[in-house]
Amino acid sequence: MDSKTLLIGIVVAIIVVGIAAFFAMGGHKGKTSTSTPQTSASPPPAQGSTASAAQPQTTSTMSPSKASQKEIKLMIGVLVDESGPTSDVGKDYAKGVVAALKYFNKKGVYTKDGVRVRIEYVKRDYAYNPSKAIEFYKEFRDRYGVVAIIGWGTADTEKLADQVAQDKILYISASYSAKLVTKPYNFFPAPDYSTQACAAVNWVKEQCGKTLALLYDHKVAYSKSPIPAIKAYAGHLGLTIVADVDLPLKATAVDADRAATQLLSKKPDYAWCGNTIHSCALAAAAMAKHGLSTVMVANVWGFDERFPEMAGKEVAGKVAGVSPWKWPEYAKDKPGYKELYEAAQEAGLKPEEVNLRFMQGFINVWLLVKAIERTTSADLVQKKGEALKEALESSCSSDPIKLGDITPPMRFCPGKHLAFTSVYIVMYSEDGKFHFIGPVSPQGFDCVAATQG
Amino acid sequence: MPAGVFKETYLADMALLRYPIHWTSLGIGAVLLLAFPLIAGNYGVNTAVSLMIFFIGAIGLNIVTGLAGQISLAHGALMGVGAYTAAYLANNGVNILLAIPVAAITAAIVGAVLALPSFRLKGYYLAMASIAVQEILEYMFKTWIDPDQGITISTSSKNIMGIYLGNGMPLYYTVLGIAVLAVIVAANVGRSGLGRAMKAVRDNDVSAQVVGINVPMTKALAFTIGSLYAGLAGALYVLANPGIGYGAFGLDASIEFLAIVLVGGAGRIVWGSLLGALVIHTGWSLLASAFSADAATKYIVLGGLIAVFVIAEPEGLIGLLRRVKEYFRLWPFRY
Repeated sequence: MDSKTLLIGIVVAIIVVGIAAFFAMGGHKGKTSTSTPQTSASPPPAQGSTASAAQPQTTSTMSPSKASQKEIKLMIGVLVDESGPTSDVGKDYAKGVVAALKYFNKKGVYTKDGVRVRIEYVKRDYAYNPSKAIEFYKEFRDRYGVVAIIGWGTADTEKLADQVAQDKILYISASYSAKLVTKPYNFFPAPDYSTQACAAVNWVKEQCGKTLALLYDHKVAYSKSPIPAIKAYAGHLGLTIVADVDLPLKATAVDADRAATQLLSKKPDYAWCGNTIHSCALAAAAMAKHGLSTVMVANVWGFDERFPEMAGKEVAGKVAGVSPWKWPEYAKDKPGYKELYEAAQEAGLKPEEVNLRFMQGFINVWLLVKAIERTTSADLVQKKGEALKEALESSCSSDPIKLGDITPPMRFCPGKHLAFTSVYIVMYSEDGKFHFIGPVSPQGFDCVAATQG
Repeated sequence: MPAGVFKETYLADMALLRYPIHWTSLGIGAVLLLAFPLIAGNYGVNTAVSLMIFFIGAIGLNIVTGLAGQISLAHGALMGVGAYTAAYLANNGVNILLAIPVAAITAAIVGAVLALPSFRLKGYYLAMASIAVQEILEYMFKTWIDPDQGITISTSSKNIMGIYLGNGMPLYYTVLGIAVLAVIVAANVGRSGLGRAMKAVRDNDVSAQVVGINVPMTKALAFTIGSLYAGLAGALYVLANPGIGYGAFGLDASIEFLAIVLVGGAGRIVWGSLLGALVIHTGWSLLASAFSADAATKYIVLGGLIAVFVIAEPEGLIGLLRRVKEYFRLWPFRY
């Protein structure tokens, strides 16, 4: 072998070994670690951030007997949509998640045996692309060794549900799809979409509504999620579905106008909008423009404080939304909401920026915090995501989980993670104000089962 | 004693590995590639697998665009054809190792049909037609094939003799083996009569016809082989992931493939594709991960890179490296 060949060989070898070493730093450590004990209980660390979370964690070998002197680092993944078709609600949700993580880290999260847990996170914007979500999931799992994920959309969460169960990673999603209710590692602090929609249908029936139209994106899993349950429950209650209209999630004014036109001949009493707020607001505005007296009821992501601004004042008295919780503005005296505003203040947000979406991100993190508080440091270190899952499921037979009266008491039972079943109907009335009606629930019908088929 | 390397037979002259440095590099490279998953951990393995998948896909586009001169912006969708075929078969009880070649062939057939516009169109017009094809296929994925925004792949189809091929070392070695086969075939396509005919069509299709080359057939074969590689990449994507969704096979994927080819080196089927995939696909993934970049930034970066390379370095990174190599070969003389 001549010297030139040897030299090239050595250079190639150094490059490949370097690349392998780079991955080994991220991959190997991430693969084996989730919780990292510190040797001293240092002052509250800098809040989790993307930059700090990007540092891989080391393997935990903490002895539970010395737990009280130590601090555990918990790595989690945060999957958000800040640039895709659901970013109209996703941006504020992401803000809520980040603010909550900073807030709870500063305030101190402790396990049942008093060990402080510092939550670190890595955040990824997947632009509502399920394939990207799978890619990021593998990065979370293999590079960062996360024990839990605060997730987002329906399609990606449903597709990953079996995989997270296999990998024993706790997954708290912003999707409340009924298909997730029976998945062992998936949780959310709300009724599922189908139960929420059924509650709305029940309310429509109580308002003496006879006909119902459906507006949703026929190609989006989130939008379609409660539709089978709505159809089944409407049939059960004797309501007639008069139109099933395809309204894109990323609708334009033209799309909304076309959808509204399809309702003109049907003149339904009520319409269900299953998209996010931008799309539903455009549809409501178009319906009002065409002079329809139909009352639109939107899914939880389709209606919030910004609706009148987006749809125009003409929709007053003709729009409502379902919400499992009171909005921050309307329950400031409750302890949970006080914490929410504190978190927002510490994140540098103005009080008016604390909206429903921000709150949804906040309470998802809070549910994770509750899981940590219900487990021991030994379990957390040894069983990781499984310990968090068991901690949440302990609410089934013991004390329910309470988030400072933001939600009703929540119970998650093994095999059925349905926290509670009631929602508010939030009506935007002619007086230009929001009115919370309820709580209401579906009666005598299993809407989760109707979705799962 | 003779100086230099002499080839005394036609066989030696036509060999793929002709010089001692080729054999040495191959030996070192093979050892390193085989040892990589032993030291790199799961994240490294997944990244390497993803690189190899895009490398295989890029080889296909390099045959179509680099070798035959036919611009295609439908490569992402053709990868989707392979992926959805493999997913369908895997979810219906067919073992993934059988589903992979079937998926590649299906994509090749679709690609052959899509080659029809290339008989009448070229340049920008063909590029526009290929975008139309991309959109049509994407619409079909969204509406008919994958209306639920994603398909979860059955894990049982990824088992063979008790070994799960969908993760870790078994995945790496399976994809590596297929990538090596794909490289050997691609390297020989470039050196064959068909490869020379493609180059002739690329350089001047009228002249090619004058010298007796069947231009439509050559173009059709280029699209078919390119699509076969895209389909193969799609099927391997199914092997490597627990689920797939049409978002992975959109226009941005096609643009990414084009960027890989142009930045790596159009016409340099193997090395150009490898360098391009390394820089554009893996490099981007690592950068995006480090800086939390969003999808919009990716378009800007890819667009900028394509523009820079088309203007400043049309031969791509491989051309740049060749000049560096020449510089050192002649050093200390300038020429």
